[in-house]
Amino acid sequence: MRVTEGVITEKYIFNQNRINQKMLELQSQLTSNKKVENLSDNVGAALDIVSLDSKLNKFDSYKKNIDNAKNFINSSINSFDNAISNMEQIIQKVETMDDAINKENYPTIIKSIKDSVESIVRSLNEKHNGMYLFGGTNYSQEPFSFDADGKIVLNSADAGGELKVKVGSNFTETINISGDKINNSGLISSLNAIMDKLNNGEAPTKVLKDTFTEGYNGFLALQTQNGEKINRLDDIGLLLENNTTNTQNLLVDKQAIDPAKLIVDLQYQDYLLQMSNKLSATILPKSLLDYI
Amino acid sequence: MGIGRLLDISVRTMSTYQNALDVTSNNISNAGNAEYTRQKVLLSTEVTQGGIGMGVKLQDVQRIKNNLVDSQIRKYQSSLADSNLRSQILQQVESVIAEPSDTGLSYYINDFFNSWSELSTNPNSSQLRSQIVQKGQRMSERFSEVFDGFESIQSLLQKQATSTAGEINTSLALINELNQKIYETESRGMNASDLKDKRDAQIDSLSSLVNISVTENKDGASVINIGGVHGADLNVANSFEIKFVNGQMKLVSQTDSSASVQLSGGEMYAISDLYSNKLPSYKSQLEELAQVIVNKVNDTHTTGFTLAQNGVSKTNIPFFGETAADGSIINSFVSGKMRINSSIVNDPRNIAVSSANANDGNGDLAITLANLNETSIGELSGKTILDAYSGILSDFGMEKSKSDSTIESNELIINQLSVQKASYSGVSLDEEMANVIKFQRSYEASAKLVRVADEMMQTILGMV
Repeated sequence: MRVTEGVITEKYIFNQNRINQKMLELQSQLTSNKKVENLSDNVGAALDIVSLDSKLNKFDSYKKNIDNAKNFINSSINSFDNAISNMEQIIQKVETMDDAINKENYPTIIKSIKDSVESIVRSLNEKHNGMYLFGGTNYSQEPFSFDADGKIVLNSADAGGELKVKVGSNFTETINISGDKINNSGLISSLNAIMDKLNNGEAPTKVLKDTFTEGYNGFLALQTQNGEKINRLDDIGLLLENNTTNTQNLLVDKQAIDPAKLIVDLQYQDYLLQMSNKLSATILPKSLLDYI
Repeated sequence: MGIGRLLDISVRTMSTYQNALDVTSNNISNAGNAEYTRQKVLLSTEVTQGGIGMGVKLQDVQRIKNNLVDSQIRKYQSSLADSNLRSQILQQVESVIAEPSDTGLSYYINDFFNSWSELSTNPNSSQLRSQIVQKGQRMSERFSEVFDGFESIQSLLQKQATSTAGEINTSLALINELNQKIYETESRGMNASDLKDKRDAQIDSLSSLVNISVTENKDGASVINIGGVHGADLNVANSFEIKFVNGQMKLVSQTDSSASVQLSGGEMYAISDLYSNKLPSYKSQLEELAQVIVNKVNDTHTTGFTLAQNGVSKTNIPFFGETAADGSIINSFVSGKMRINSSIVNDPRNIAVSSANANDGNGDLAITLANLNETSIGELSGKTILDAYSGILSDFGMEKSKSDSTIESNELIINQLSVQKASYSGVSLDEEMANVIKFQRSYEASAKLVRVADEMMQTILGMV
């Protein structure tokens, strides 16, 4: 091959340009702290990043939903606790009515029991962020009230609605205890029966007291469901945290640079550049002309 | 007579080597000129007289050129120019798409659907309802920004096409002019190497603008053909202009608009292909995706019930667009804009996510709408929204990536071909300096012969 000055120059410029391009790429990665800045840098990796980012956004949304759901359930638990405490007071006061010496105190005891019943109804009508905790999905009126006879009634015909929350991909959790469930626990009817007796100035019978205890236990079972829901949401939250960590790790693998490696690569390219410059400085100007 | 011949040969030799030194000095002075094709002096012996040689003569000054390498360089130059410009423009498209980042469409689409998911936790929350409207508006704006970005790039391409057509016309006119000058110069028996170098450079430059084929006719003129349409020869230079036929950008002859250039290389091909095919294809795929989102959201939303107002919920309300008098949904997606129903924008209580009348706590449809982002959709060939969007990104990314790899491979090939060209047609200073010494020595020796002849004449004159 005939080697002319043009051949040497052509090769030198081409190689120089390639080294500069490589250095530019490395510098860009170092300054942006990203391996993939644009789609075309690595199409496969860029699409993976889009998909992983999308997953992380969804996980964040599910976690937010779980937090909101737990707040709702905790409000339910607080209302339940208040109602349970009042029920326990009712049980205690009804028991005192069996003692003959308390007969003259019946009016006071009955008033106190009625106060507790009202407090229970108030608890069952509690709201969380504008939502009736136990009204199902019908928020048009309070779920429970007293009728003209002073009995507790469930107001809505459709208080059985479930408040479902999205906590995973195609996965929902029902977070509310509906008015229907409370009504079906036997608590309301047994309370109404006790109130009937009290309104007649009589102490509740053993059968009534047993029925009320059953209703109370049924109510406790619903409270247990609330606890279970919190536990389940905690488990799902933990799973989401793990998934988030794993997805973030995958994202880091796709996206994050290794600064040490890049700097070593950059240094290597710099050596090549210097070597190329030095060689060119030695070779390019030399010709027979220099020796004539 | 004998001494006269000696003088005659010496003088002719001196003249020949002087000419040879002229050619060599021209080579040396053009050593740094990339367009220059080196010239070689061809010497031959002068016709003998009576069996005795009559010295040397300059038979020809040859232009050392490899036409095959030149045509290969033009071919790859054309492809490189196409890929280079294509890559530059796609880089602009890439910044409009802005993926992967927090400003890409995927982020806003996810955000929109996640906001439905959040509404499921508190379906009657006015704050979460307003958030859905905001996220929907932001998604719609982002789609619009992308479409506007595409249109703005198309508008730039249109301007660039007109300017490139002008450059092609100028180049063809110059080639035609150089063809004429070369013909005239050579007709007068003169060397037209420099003009040919200029013409070659012009043809090289034209090959970067558009795909060409070059032949040489019997008059030594370069005949240029641009994608099947006559470009220039000795007598004429064609002129081209940009025409738009059914949204397709065409390069056509100004004198005959039916003569459309079949573009396959050069910057003009990149401009035309991106304007006519690639950008409209990306845009229409994104429009299709936006339309599917609009339709699918509306399909679910129209079945839902709004928050109860005065104890009554409304239904059959589209989230995007308005309901026309005939019950159809209109203005949901117009000119690349997803339009949220104004009754929802004005009052987010009209977002209908309850599956039952007057059930404000029912968020069943909020969940259905959130799930839409994870559901295979028939209109998207069974893909989810994100998968369909990723498909569009993949098509685009592969195109840009392909252009970048073509640049790399073409640069490598052109470098190798340029090295071959520099090796064949380039000036070697060593070689030229050796020639200088060789020709100078021959010139000195010839001058010595004149002195010898003179001394011989003096000797003879001294004898008289």
